Amino acid sequence: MTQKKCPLCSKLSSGFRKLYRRFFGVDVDCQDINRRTLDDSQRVSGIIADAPDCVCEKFRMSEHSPGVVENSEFLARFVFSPMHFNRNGKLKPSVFSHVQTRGCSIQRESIANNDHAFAMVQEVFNSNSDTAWQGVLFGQCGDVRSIMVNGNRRSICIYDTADQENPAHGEMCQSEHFEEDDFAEIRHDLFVAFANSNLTPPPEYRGGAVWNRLTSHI
Amino acid sequence: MNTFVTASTVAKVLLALSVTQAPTVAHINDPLLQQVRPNNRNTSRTMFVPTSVASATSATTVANDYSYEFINRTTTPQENIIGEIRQFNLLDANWDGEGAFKPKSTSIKEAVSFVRILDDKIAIPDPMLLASGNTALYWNEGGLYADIEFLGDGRIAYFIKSNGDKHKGILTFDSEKMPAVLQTLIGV
Repeated sequence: MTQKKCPLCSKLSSGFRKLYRRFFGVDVDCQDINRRTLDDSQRVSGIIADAPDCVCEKFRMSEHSPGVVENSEFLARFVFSPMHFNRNGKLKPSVFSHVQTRGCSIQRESIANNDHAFAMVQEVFNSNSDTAWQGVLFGQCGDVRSIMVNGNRRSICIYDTADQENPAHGEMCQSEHFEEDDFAEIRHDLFVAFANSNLTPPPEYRGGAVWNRLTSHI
Repeated sequence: MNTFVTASTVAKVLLALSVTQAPTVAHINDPLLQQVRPNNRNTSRTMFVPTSVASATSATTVANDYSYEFINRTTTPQENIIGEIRQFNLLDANWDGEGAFKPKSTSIKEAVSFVRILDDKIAIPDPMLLASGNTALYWNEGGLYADIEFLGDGRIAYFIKSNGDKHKGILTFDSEKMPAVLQTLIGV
């Protein structure tokens, strides 16, 4: 009873969009897209609508960004919600489910300093007092960008969505609208790309510099 | 003057007492009274069974005029998971501090139905709440990786990796019958 999908339609649609942009010279203002979708609960859909196929990876998405995210960069995914762990304390792939909706926040490790990481953690705490910093996952940008769906479609874009307090902030977003079963596969592939989701505890991240600063504020 | 005031006050009080009705408290039927949960129950879930149908192994008998017996048993792993899934209903939007959607009740119901019909031979999954508000079930041990998402509209999206083979798709789910393909893939 599996529903039939139309991969050919999706490829054709994507191909037509690329051709249209190439022939008519349609330019995209990635910083404007970033600003407009910032508070949108379906931010990823907004980015896909205006800049599909990871177009904005080639441009700075924020005036605060030092530059686009390179494939060689290491990405850190901070984990806050205890809901992402099972009873035995093992992480679940739900930690990456924001790639479908709001964008999955990451820190660019080569750019971030301790102040940036501290600001990011504080921002999440201010947003929801029930959260706690559980740890950090690491993955390489090139590995994440090479995740494909159905063999040949790039699934994840990585953008430099920096803000003033945290220029190292970035986001992982889906590259186009996928079927729901594709998302389940993407969650798996992200789970594997981030070192099989082995968590670095907060006191071990950056030699405990961020953790010590946080605990001194309590 | 004092005598007049005192007599008047007494008269008012007597009048008030005669007019005022008794406090209105609803009558509680006996069958409801006897269903109060006992303090000394052995399990987290106790079944009330009339003595006429209770088995010979049943333990304690309740007092009052009505005789009921309890079947003492431990909570099953499936019931534990169902309890965990139902707790998602208590969460609000932004449950993860990163702007996640409020959990969808329809998706939660579908996940509960699915767990209820899980075969005892199948390993117990971990419930998973996604940023979209959908509930999913997750297995990751012994060569099996499975992620089954309940879309809240009678459909299930699944990705299963078993012994190196990958399977994925979208199925309809009627909440009563386990889709055969999942039974086969997860039960491996």
